[in-house]
Amino acid sequence: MAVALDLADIQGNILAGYGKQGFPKGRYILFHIDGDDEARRAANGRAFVNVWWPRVTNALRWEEKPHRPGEFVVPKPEVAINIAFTFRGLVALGVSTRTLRGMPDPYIDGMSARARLLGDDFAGGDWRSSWDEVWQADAKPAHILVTVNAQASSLPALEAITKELEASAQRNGVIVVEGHNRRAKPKLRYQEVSAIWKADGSGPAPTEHFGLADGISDPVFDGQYPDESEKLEATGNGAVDGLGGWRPLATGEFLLGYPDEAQEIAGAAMPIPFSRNGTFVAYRKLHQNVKSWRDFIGETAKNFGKVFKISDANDARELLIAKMVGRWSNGVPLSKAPTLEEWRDLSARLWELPRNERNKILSSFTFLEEDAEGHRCPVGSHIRRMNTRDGLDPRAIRPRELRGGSTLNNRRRILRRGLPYGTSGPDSRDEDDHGIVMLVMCADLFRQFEFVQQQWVNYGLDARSGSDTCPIVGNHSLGQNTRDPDARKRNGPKAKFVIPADPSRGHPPFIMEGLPQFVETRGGEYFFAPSLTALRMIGAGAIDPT
Amino acid sequence: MPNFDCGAYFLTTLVPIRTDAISDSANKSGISPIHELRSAIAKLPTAMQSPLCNAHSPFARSKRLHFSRLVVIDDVAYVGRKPINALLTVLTELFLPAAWHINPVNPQPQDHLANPFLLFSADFDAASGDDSERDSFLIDLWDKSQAELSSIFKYCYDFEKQVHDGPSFAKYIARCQVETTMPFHDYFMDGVPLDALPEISNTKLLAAFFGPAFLVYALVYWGYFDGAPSFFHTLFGLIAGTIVGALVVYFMVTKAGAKSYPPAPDSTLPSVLKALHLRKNFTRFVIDNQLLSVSDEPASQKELYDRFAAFTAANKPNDLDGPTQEPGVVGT
Repeated sequence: MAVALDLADIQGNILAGYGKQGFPKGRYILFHIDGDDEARRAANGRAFVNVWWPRVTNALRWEEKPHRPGEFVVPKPEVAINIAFTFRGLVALGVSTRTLRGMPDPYIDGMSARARLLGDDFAGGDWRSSWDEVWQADAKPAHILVTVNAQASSLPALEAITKELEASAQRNGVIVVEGHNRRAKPKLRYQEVSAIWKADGSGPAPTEHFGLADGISDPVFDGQYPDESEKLEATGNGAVDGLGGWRPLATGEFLLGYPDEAQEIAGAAMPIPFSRNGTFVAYRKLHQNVKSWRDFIGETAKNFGKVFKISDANDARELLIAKMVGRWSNGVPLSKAPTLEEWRDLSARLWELPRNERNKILSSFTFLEEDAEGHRCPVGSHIRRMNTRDGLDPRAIRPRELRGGSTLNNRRRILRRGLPYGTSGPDSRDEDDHGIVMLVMCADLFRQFEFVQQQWVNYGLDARSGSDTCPIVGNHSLGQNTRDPDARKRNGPKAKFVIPADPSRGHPPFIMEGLPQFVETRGGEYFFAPSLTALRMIGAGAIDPT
Repeated sequence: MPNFDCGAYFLTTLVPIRTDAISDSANKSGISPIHELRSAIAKLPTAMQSPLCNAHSPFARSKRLHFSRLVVIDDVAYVGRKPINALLTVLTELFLPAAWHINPVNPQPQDHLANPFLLFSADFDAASGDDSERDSFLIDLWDKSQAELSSIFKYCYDFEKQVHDGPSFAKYIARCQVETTMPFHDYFMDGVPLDALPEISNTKLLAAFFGPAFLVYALVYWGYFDGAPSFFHTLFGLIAGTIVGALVVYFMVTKAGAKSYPPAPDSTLPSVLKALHLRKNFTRFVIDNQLLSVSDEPASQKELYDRFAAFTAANKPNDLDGPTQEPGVVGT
């Protein structure tokens, strides 16, 4: 029997990415709970939580979305409000020791203490100085994250909610932590996020600042969609078996308190109602060096075109980017359209196809049978690292019905929420503020988010690429040009990326070298996004520890 | 003989650690040998995993050693009580004499080691599983890293009394050797050649079972017992025959399975190091020359040819003694 989720108890941003659901604008606000002593801080924090938890947007389906007949549905809200806490936040709120000690180490450590593992200290000893002021050691530590997402037409409502948040914070001794930018600038009070607008101004585009379609294959788990659409959504985005059959992933990979892909309910903070229906959030502000990207791609495409025998400069550029990402700039996967001709052909009719058909093209593909060598989609490309699908099947040599499919990958999936920030016009410079605020959600930060970041993004063993990192979001060594002397020794030679070639095409592979740092971390933290039940418990200051 | 497989010797040893406290000259108080051993192991340099590590592992001085491991085993883990069936407990009390009663409250016995052990394992290149291969490896390791080995093993039982040179070190370690039952070898680049696996045909297996089985049966049926064969004779003969036949098959299969697997191609340490060196340098060569390789100009092709000639001359791909990667060094 499928999992029946209590949608009214789960925060809405876990089940759906608001960006793609018609909420292209947002504001992320960090709060610090102040007070002279423990009791005062707990009282202040609880009073603030009690004002806001009843207004948290839950996961109940909106009238316009697919739902079961007779299901309780709600009108689509103008703004969606969600709330999450750091470990220090829970301590300040006076959550009981019995509960706190059940929290996992990465969450207790916080993201900056995990810098080594995440590769965030790559630049050298003073890595943290490049983070936003709000994450600096001397800033007031963040306790509460409130994310407010708004429809494009609801900016006044977003403003009004912000004012309300500010007012209730002030009333209750809770401080807005400012500085969502680097030092020596006027401090930004909030992290503004926004989808990137189409050039003609007609609306939000599903791209990020490098101009690439983003957020396509998000994992689908049991209970997330109503029965009829579940199968469809899971195709390409769930778990796949050796025969190519897709199913939704286990709920416990993304929500605490449910069986996960190991068919067990992982341990979590007690009491169970405190953890159940909650999840962990990795907030990561990722700056994008747009100019470096454009310059490097433009320059490299020339040589790439020569080796891959593509005369047109733009064609070479498009294919080069596609090989690095694993998808063409409009999101069509290389696995479905490996050549420029096939891509153009498929793209021309893609938007006329019904949504279901289109989703199948964009998401439903595997690597083992069709492309084990990576002649179409390089094994080290971005999407093959982030979501290895059946590429690491430990039973790959067995007959198809005995294979494991995506079994290893199923334990390493992450929900990606969040939106871009800043703008990137034609004259963009690297120093300009633009990038993405990723909200990574998963039940186990260590097993899922941190593993993917450490092993698949910043290392190449599973991608059969030696020490090569992800060509897009990985750390890229600058070799001898590395500024910090220790990092220069440690990071090794200049970053490279190998683009394999199909031997029948009559040209050799291409190795690109000297990739600059395209994406840099500007700050972040680990949060716990509790259920509505747990929010009530936190606010009441009464968590039965039995 | 799983100590030797795929052209490598898999040495596993359990060396007893001293249990008498050592006098600590600084504090004039006793200190645990296990404590000192752990501290000595912690001070051993690991490999040169990055240029930030400034010291080489003493084990990297051996030109045969692939992988070595030192683990302190304090005691065997206690895995808990044996489960007792509550119903059975009651039944024994009801129906059996007192000597058979089970008292669930009584503590059950626990196993413990008499002393802690240092697990020292090493996988190294060897021509065979002969003791001389093991000893020559250990003597060579002692000659190259005597100071470091002494700093570790001096906390082991009787080491300082028994070991004074390479041969005595080899003898000491050999006395502590246990059989390696599951060696792991991962140098088959193109998969394991299945035809090298020991194979026994079904006909042979059937013959190995039914031959002895029938002999035993016949012996029991006609030979051993006098008089007319009874049902009991038949049954006993069948059971005895089946057991003997199964034993013969079992020994045949395990004997075939014990045959060591052939070495993987180019899997000795010098070959692996050479491969790492060539891969690194050839990658550099490809990056530097990839544009030449796609040019149709004869001059470019000549240039590429000449540069590759220079590459092979400089790196000597077939010469294991030529330029190579240093052992115990990761990267760069």
